[in-house]
Amino acid sequence: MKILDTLIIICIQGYKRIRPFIDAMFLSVFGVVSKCSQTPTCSDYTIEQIKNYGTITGLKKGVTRLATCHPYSAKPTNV
Amino acid sequence: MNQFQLFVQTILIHPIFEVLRFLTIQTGNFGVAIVLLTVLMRTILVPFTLPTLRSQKKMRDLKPKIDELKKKHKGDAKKIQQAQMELFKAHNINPLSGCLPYIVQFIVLIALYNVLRNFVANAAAIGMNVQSSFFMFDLSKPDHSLIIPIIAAVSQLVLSLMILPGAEKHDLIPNNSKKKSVQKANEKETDTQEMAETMQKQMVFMMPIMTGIISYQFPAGLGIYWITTTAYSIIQQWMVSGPGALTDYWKKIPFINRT
Repeated sequence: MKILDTLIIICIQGYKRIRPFIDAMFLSVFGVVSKCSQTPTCSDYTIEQIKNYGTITGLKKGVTRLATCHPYSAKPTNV
Repeated sequence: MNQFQLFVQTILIHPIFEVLRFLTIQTGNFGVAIVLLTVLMRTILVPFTLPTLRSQKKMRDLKPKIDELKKKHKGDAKKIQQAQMELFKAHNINPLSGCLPYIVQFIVLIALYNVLRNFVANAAAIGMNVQSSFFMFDLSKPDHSLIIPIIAAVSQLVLSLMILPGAEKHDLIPNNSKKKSVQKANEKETDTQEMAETMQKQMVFMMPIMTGIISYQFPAGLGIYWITTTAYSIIQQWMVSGPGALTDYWKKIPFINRT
């Protein structure tokens, strides 16, 4: 389980590294890029939850948060 | 996955492809068709982009007020955030946010790339007698005269400079509290913000280089697309929020006679 944890966390951190590139690309193609509306960001939150609750529960929590994050979401932005 | 691919194909790839074909037949020129398609797509997107750009500008204008709030509730991150949210609500700022638009953008981008690449490569194969030269470039082949890559890179640089947060000065929390614990909490916050800022500053120069390399390697049609969309972004940005950090950099360039 420990290995899986580390692997997923590394993946999320890798995504965080390339996010600025994706953002810049969107910015030139569409003129805007949607900004993260939550603090901490979903990736930080997921990493934290995986550390606390293990891979499956942590990932579930992260994905749930990600899925509820859209402009028409009724949920408060800070979870 | 297959279902999803089919879905994207029917609602995105096919329509874009057909529009591009129509434009190419009507104008008889490939480059003109790509430019028209880009302008068309960006104009369709204006209802989404404009509110976001406006709210970004509003947010920039509200910066002094936010700084005030930060001073008022120094060290209490939660209170700062709450007050900030209330302020945003009062000024009705609702930036395009969340991960759903992000994913949609991703899908559109990939579809667009697919269409352009296929179209550029197979225009002749699907029986279209198309002039693929635009000015002096053959759009179905990579441009090795460096002109298109350089224009793409420079326009990207201009856009990046315009949206650079540098012009907004620092949004960092003033760290002059006498309490050690408060100072430490503030430092942590400052660290993450500073990191994000340096990342963004690196992007300003990384992105043009990448754009140049990409336009050098792919068919010149993609480069034309990139230049047009960036130019559109620059104009839009300029009209909504002015030149931004561009003026700062313009002043730094030596040997230019400014009158």
